[in-house]
Amino acid sequence: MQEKITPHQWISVMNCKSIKNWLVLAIAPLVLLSFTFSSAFGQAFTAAVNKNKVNVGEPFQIEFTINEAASNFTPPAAMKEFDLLSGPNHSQAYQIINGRMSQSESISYVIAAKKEGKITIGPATIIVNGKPKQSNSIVIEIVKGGAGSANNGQQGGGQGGAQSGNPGNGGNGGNNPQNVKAQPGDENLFTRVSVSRTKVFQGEQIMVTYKVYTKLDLREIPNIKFPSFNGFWSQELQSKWKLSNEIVDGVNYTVAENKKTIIFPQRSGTIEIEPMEVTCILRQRSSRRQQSIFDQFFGNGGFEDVMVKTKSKPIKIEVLPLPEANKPASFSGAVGKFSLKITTNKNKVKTNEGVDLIATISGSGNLKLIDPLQFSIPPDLEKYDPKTVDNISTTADGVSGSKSFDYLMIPRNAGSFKIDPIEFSYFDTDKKNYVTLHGPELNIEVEKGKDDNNANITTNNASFSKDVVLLGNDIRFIKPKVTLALKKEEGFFGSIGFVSLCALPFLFWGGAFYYKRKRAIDWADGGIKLRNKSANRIANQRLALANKHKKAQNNEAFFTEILLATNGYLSDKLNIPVANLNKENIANYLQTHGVDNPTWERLNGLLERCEFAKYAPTAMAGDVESTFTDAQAIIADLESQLKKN
Amino acid sequence: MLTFLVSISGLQTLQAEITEPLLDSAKEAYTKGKFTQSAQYYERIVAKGYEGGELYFNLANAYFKSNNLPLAIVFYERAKKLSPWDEDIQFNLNLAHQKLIDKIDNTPDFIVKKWLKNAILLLSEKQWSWFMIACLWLAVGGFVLFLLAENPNQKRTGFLLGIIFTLLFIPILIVSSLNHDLNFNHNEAVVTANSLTTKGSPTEQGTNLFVLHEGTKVKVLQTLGNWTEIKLPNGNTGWAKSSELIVI
Repeated sequence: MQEKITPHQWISVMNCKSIKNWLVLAIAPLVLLSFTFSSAFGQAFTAAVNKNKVNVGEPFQIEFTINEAASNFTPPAAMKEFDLLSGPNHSQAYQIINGRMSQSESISYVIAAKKEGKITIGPATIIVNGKPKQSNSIVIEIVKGGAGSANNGQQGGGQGGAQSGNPGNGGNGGNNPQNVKAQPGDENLFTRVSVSRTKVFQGEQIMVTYKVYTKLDLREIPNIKFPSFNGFWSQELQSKWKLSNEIVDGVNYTVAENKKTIIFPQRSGTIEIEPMEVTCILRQRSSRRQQSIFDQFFGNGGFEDVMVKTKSKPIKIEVLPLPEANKPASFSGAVGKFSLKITTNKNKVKTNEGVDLIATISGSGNLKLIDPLQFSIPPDLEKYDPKTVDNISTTADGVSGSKSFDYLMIPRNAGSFKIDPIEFSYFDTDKKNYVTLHGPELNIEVEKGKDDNNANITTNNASFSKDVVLLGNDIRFIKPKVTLALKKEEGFFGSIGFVSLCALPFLFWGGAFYYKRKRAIDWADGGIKLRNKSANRIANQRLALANKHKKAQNNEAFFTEILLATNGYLSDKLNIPVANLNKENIANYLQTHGVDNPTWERLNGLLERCEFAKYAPTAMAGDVESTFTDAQAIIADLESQLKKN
Repeated sequence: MLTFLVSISGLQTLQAEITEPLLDSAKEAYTKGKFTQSAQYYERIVAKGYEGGELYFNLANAYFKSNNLPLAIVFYERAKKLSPWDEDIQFNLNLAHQKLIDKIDNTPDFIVKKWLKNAILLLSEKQWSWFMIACLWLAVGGFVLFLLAENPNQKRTGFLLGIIFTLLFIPILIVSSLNHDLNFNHNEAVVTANSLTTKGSPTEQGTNLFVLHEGTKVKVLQTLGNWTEIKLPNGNTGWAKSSELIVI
């Protein structure tokens, strides 16, 4: 950043003063005069010195200025402790700016301290409109000066008048040229970067002003290096050089003030603003002594332009972070004081007609950094990226104005759509808390456009339907119906029941195996034992069958069955096939097995009867009942007698 | 048998009397957005010894909404075990996984492995067990028939049945044992500590191995005193304090 004031500009500012000083130079060379343009600024009645740290005997100037018509000036009592070298020197100035007249009057003295120490020059009084007014007090620090310096001082005092004549340099009257050689950090020339506040919240605006203070004749500022605001977002305020008077520690300075910058800290913590570097060209008395009278007369001799660099002090800004507590979801960094206005250009539209939703945020703060507001709209409305219109002005009071976001929405389907209130949150630096503003709830009625081109599109374009728009993502809702079961720590698998159910079939298998083995042993002798055992059972089965035939009066079948039962029984018992059975082997077997004769007789009788009945079943019809009981009894007897043995 | 049935039905009515009001309160609290309270109600039902896929799912939802991610994941996992076919559980679990800090490379299972897992979870542990028992009985029955039948046809049928059901029995035995493991072997855990530094040995002085964050699922290999050896899907193992984990 480089700014340059041309000498021409500078002189035009100084113009009226210069001419007057020239006149004074010509008429009254010993009269000291000072700036008079100061009257338009500052307090109503001020006291100022050109130095507040002087040597004993060193002349300096004290000046009282009033910007109203006044009378009865009484100098401060402490003035008596100084040697009065010159004064009171009165000067008056009138100015008409934009038709408004202002006047100022100044009374100045050149005085020198008698002894070292600190002396407070108390207030001077003056009567304005019949009322007394007091000026400020000034503390003067007097140090013991060396003999040389005292000498110089006297010399300077003698020549003060001539020096004071140089244009724009009324302040350094009485000083030795060597002393006024400006050095960086010198009280004769310094720069300050001043900020409106040093403790702010993140995003809160700070006004930064750059000032060059001088007591010397500042001719030109060819180069300024403004601080780069790392950690800040800055907004420059366009302004021209402005001259004013300012009293610092009681010393009157000419102040050249350049542009202002408004900065917004972007992070929290302590941020340092780098110093400003200013290169000045100062006109000061040449160290060369050869000044011709001619040169002195025209004022262009004995002065030289000196380039001086000066640097301001760095400034530390403490930036507090915005509190995390209560931070609203809609907060996006706006800090200041704002208001929100939401409007739509229409509430009733037809499909595919646009609706403008305009959100305007006005107020002061970091407006430029406000992002477009986020809000959700029904998915049947199409929302486009907003058009942002800034109406932001940067003035000495800060950044203020309005920012509006114009959202174009196009409804694609008919219906009544509700837009939830739009939210905007900001951090209020006065309340030190978050403020959330809500817009109104908006309703947009959308009717179906009548001779809508859309209708054609729909018919022409079969794929008018769109994918369902996914608006958000959330976990699925809880199950309304809950079935409960008692918690099982152990499963069925591996439990005792399980193991026994697994073991059981093997037991069966074992059983089956055993059974098979046993049966195999039984059949090992060709089934004799087995048949012997089951003879009675089989005979009884045949008898039961015979009983059936008897009831059915089927005599032939009955007798055949009885014969089969008896013969079968004997065959099983005797282990002789039925075909080989005869009376002899039956009798033989029965006798050896201890069956008594009567049973044998009965059996024989039964067999004969059955044989006979086979050929003449009807003849034996009457004996059916007795034959059956006989057969039963005989088989039972045989079984019991055979078992006995 | 009758008394047993009576006692079961009596128990069920008793259970409904206790749990119904709790379920209603939990549901109401959840609907009103009081998720922590809702979770407490569901926890009381769990404390009474009940379980259920829906119960665990609802409880997990309440934990999820009250930002207790580890417990939400624990209960989603438990719910998944009880109702493996519920899509909602997997959906919510996936959402919960998205919020986790640790992004452990969860390579999707091989398709075959996935099928196998699905097959294992097709039936419940009890169903598989009964299926297995049925196969065993039929196999043995077939062999018994083979053993005892005299008719050669019957013998052949018996033998065939025996072979078929034996062949069926073996994989079902494996599947039901795996299913039992999945359901009743608690070999997975979720990290509950905000950040957990695993050690190389089960002592405080062990070398720090890796750091896990809440909600991450790990495999449990073994426990030793207050320490549990865990394994990550990428194969890394380390010892963690048992108090900083919840076994699923």
